[in-house]
Amino acid sequence: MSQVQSARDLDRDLILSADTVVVGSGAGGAVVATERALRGERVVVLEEGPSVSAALLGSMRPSESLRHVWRDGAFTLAIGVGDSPSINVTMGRCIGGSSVLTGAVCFRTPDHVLDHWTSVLKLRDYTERGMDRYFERVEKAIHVEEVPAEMRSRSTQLFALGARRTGLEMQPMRRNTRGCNGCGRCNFGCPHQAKMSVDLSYLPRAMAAGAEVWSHCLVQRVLRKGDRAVGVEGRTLGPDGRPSRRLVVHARRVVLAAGAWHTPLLLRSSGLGRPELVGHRMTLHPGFRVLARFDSPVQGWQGALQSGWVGDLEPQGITLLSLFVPPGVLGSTMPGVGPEHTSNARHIGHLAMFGGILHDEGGGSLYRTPGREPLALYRMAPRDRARIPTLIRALARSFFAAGAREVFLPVLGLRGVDADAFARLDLERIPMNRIECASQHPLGSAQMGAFPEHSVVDPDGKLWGMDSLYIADGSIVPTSLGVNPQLSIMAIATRIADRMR
Amino acid sequence: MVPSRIEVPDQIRPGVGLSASDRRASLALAEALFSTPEGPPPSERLGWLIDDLDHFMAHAGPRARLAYGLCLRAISWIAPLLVGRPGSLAGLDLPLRIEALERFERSPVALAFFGAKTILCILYYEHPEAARAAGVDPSCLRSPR
Ligand SMILES: Cc1cc2nc3c(=O)[nH]c(=O)nc-3n(C[C@H](O)[C@H](O)[C@H](O)COP(=O)(O)OP(=O)(O)OC[C@H]3O[C@@H](n4cnc5c(N)ncnc54)[C@H](O)[C@@H]3O)c2cc1C
Ligand code: SF4
Repeated sequence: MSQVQSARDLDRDLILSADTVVVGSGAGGAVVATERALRGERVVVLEEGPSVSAALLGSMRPSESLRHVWRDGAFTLAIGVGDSPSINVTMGRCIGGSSVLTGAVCFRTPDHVLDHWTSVLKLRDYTERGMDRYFERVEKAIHVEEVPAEMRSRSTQLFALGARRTGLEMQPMRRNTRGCNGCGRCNFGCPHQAKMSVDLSYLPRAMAAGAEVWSHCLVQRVLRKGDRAVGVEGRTLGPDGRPSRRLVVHARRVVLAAGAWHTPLLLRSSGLGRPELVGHRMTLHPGFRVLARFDSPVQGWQGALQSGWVGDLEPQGITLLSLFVPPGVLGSTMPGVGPEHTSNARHIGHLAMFGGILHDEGGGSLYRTPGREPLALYRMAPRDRARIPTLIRALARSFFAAGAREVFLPVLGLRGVDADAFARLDLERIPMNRIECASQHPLGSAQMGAFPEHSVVDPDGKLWGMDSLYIADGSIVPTSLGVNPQLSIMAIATRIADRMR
Repeated sequence: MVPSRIEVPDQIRPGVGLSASDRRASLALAEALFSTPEGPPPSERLGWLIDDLDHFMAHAGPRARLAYGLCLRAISWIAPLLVGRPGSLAGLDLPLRIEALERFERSPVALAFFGAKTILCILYYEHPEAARAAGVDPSCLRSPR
């Protein structure tokens, strides 16, 4: 079968067998499935979400993509515990997983992060040299290229100008695109098949090599015989979206790649892994944005969505990244109600935007609930909390240096502030429950490590103490990265696929 | 011309959307949120918005409905108290409703307001007339070139 098969309308149980069954068709799962299928193995990929074509993505409004392709319509929250902001954590739920929704940004794992993994965490093979070939392989498969400066949106150009005036240097972004026309829709799925998400770059190769890829298949637990994983079971999802027919895949090897939000739930429901480690220490790269109003039109949604970044603040655990959101989302960030809000919203076309993420220590925990989705809590480390004002200042000062009239900060209910008011603002005293924070990068909820006492999987992605059960997704990334993670996840997944026994 | 809705053939059939009381509360919120000095937006536009919100909630799943419902209830119950008028948000006249919501937006529970406001804004500004009023070319981000 060279197409994704849907289990939605099946009127029978779905019972399959394979050499390798992969749970989740996102960045990690698609890579392992393809690598193993290319070796001649019988591979089955099970995905909970639907398959959505580029043409369909192109005909959707952004909010339609949210309701059909994003998990929970993007209403997913990690609740802030203690003095922490609550964080809106978004992810995809479709064939291709979150890779379908990326801004296509590609970073290799930074050297200083790999140094930490090798020297402190003793993950000895994760050196720059050791990982080089895996990165190269993935970059070729997903066509990573540098975004030309002429594709930068005016929003990004303005930020670059201001940043330079404050001593920060914008670097060009690398993205996994081929023939991108800069229409700026990336986060809602690319209608032009220009973003080389895994549903376009990897899964077709897997299917051509004989892999079966199934949508509407919700895996609920791992089947085991003693200390061997022998398959998975769950339910197909019927036309009403509810669990329908029985789903069983018998396999010699099981690969969990349901993402950092769901893989720990599968481990827990299967009684696998150490409970004190599974689902804990999750990092999120908490992200913040600043909007700036200029006198002249910006129309920031025109141009490549993400085209530049600033790494000068990495020693302080901060990476600044270009981004933009559709006009409606911009509208929601305009403070006020009624006439005040609508008058602010009239400036949407004059707004520029830039964001930043924290290279966080992690403090996220996931708990099972009676429903399908986990309860997520996040306790931000004091070190990371202290970095939020630095991040916001860097963004706002750059915009003022480029001539912005006022900035809108990620502080709920705060009106726009001009340069004078900004200078007087005591950012350190703003309560965390007023901070607006988002994450697209849940990682590290079932970490890889060199020692079974401290980690869930070994350096090859194999669950400690179990044969033939692997994890190959964002959950095993052992620390936050400080940069967008898809390339790291895919390179690690390639390595895991290479070393499977 | 209002945007038509896409039905994804491979998608699950919609579940339940908004309850009648959530529709009323959402309408009261949207009317205040998007009113200009001239008054609230045309009723057809608000009607379209609430229908689209209903469709959104029916497709986005139970967690989205739960989260939105909690935000809406927090706003409906707490906002009137902030202007000293216990009762329903819809029961407040428009200027007082706007004031109540402004106070709510600056309160420690502002996140609930942000949750509901975000989805209402995303949908509302997709309406071509609302987009045009905000200076946005309504065709942008819509269809492939
Ligand atoms: C809006 C957005 C923008 C982003 N932009 C970038 C970017 O520009 N650059 C970058 O590097 N990263 C970006 N990311 C992050 C990146 O997409 C993710 O880090 C990466 O895709 C994670 O890979 P994964 O395999 O861990 O999980 P995913 O890609 O999320 O895949 C997991 C899949 O498993 C499925 N699943 C879950 N549970 C089950 C189950 N029980 N049974 C069956 N299937 C299940 C899910 O539906 C999902 O499809 C972005 C993410 C989002 C949401
Ligand atoms: S900007 Fe490029 S990659 Fe993004 S949606 Fe448009 S064509 Fe696709």
